[in-house]
Amino acid sequence: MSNADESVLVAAARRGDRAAFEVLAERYAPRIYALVSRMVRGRREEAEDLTQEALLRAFQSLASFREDSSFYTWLYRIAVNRTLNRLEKKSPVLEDEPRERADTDLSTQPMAALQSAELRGVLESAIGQLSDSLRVVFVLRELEGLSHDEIASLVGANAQAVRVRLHRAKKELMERLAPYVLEGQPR
Amino acid sequence: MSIDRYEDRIVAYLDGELPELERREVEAHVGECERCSRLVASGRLLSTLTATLEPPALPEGFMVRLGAALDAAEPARVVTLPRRSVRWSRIGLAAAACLLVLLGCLWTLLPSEIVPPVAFADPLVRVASGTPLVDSVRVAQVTDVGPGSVVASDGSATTLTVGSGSQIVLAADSELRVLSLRRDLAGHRLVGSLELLRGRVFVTETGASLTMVTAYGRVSPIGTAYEVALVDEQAQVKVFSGSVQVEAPSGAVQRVDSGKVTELSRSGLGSVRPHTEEMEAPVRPAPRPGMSLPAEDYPKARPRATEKGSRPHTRPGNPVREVPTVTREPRPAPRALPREPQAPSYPQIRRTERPRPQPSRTQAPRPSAPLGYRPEPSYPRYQGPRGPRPAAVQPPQRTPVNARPYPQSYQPVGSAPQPTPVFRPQAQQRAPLGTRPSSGQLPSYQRPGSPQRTQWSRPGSSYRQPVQQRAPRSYRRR
Repeated sequence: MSNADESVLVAAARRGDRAAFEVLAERYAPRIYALVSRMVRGRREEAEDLTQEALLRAFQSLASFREDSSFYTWLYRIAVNRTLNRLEKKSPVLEDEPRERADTDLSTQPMAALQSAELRGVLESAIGQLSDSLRVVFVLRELEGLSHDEIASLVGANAQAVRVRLHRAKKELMERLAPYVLEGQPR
Repeated sequence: MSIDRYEDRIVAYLDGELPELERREVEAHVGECERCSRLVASGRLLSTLTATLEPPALPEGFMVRLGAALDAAEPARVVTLPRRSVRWSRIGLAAAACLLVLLGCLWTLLPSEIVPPVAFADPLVRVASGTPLVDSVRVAQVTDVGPGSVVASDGSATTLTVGSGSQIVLAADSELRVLSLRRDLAGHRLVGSLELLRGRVFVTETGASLTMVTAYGRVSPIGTAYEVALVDEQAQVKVFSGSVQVEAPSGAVQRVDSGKVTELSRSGLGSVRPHTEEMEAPVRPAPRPGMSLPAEDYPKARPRATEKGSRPHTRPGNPVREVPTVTREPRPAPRALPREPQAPSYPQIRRTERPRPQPSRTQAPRPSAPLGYRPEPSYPRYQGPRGPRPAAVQPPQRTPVNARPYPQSYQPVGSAPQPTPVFRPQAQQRAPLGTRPSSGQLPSYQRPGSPQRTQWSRPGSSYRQPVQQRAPRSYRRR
């Protein structure tokens, strides 16, 4: 979708054209859902709920959209904020206490069975086992590509704190992936 | 340097954030330490896997659920009230006008609206937030008035008051499904789409646009009052005010103006021809400060739909929900009026303000205005103080005022009382169409020359018989 197309659709949606908004929603809902899903540890129902909430919020707040950023950026911010709020209600988002690890010990699985797809599953699982504060920073930085400053503004921390949390998240993930590193793998 | 400190710096090393000197130091340590070496390899594996992670797929049916949520997200509140039967004589034209406008607004939306209604997950959520969409609903049997809701009338006509005054009146033994009902984005206008499943419906519109869908086509309002009836495998569209646009599934479109009737059937559009049927104005007089409607204008109290033994009617698949209780201020107790043996058969005025000594100035309520605009209240003009009313001149005995409260919107609180029209009891006979009652038909106190005469029509005025505005008898309560 070109910027011009998006502008036309956004303008139509702001005039009350629901069909135009649904086109925009259909375009961006998968990305928003993927983001939210990873932020909420892959809990499908909660992720769908949050994605829907974000889109509804955008639909109802289109009048306040000033178009100084792209529609997706605006929608993205709504989704992230709502997800952070949801996580905050459940547990402090920026807590540094790690959550309990999953009952299943991934290291007990046979190495030969872990192909690349399975390794991705291991990583997904490991990401889900991070604490909320670490996981949110890791997802926004490594999977969504936001800068440290952007993440800091979203989570309400300074950039240095974001870096520290990102390093801790990575180190924790590396430790969980370490058992799966093959002996002959280049280091 | 301890191994823990190296471990802490490995992430920065992998991210290329270390200065040259520290980087060489870490590299030297990694070459010697098995644990740190494995950690570095794990970090590189993490980078590789992160880059190849596939995003979680959007759950199937998400967009459908989002569409339903968008419907429900409109500022809306649904309030269901206890069952009441409604006479066409009190409702019809106003309801027709409401539905016509709602139909028109939805015309462009219909292709997406005709899809089977999505189950309305939790209508009570809509009650809890937003401004009222359906301010009051009086139905014989009701599930939830929201997308997917089905409203059915049993043996008597049923009316739904929508928004600021639009009314949808279901004739007896009719059934209606709400496909959508929401406010426009500006929040000013109700936009709805309804499907007539069986029977007949009569719509008057005020600040709304309701499109009526049938199996034979759809009807969009241009004016304000019309009727759609499913009869003999066709939908008969009769317009009483304004115009409607009818569209057959083939795409054929036809405009039907006031006073005309046409049919929609499997074969397409029928011819447009005049109809001679006169409707009784179903519109209540527009509420004004201090105005309270007489009890006869409202149906008798009937058991609440939620009372034991009386469950709301639902279609298969529509869950029965508890009808929320609406708290209203109770209607003020009616004034006791002296009983007269022969109540007149014509509308009379009951004074609720200052008594007037000259009953001849009393004016009969005008018939409700034709649909298409909000009718003027049909109560007499204020004629100034005229002293106390003679005790001998009393209005006829009315049916005891129904103690049941009715929507607060019809009964402003705290305002001064105004002259109030009094409608005759339902059981009494009306005068034939177009005839003015002879003096002999009037009660004694209304006969010319009688000292108790109450003139029900101002002499010389262009009196219009209220009975000429009556709805077809078939709409009346059975």
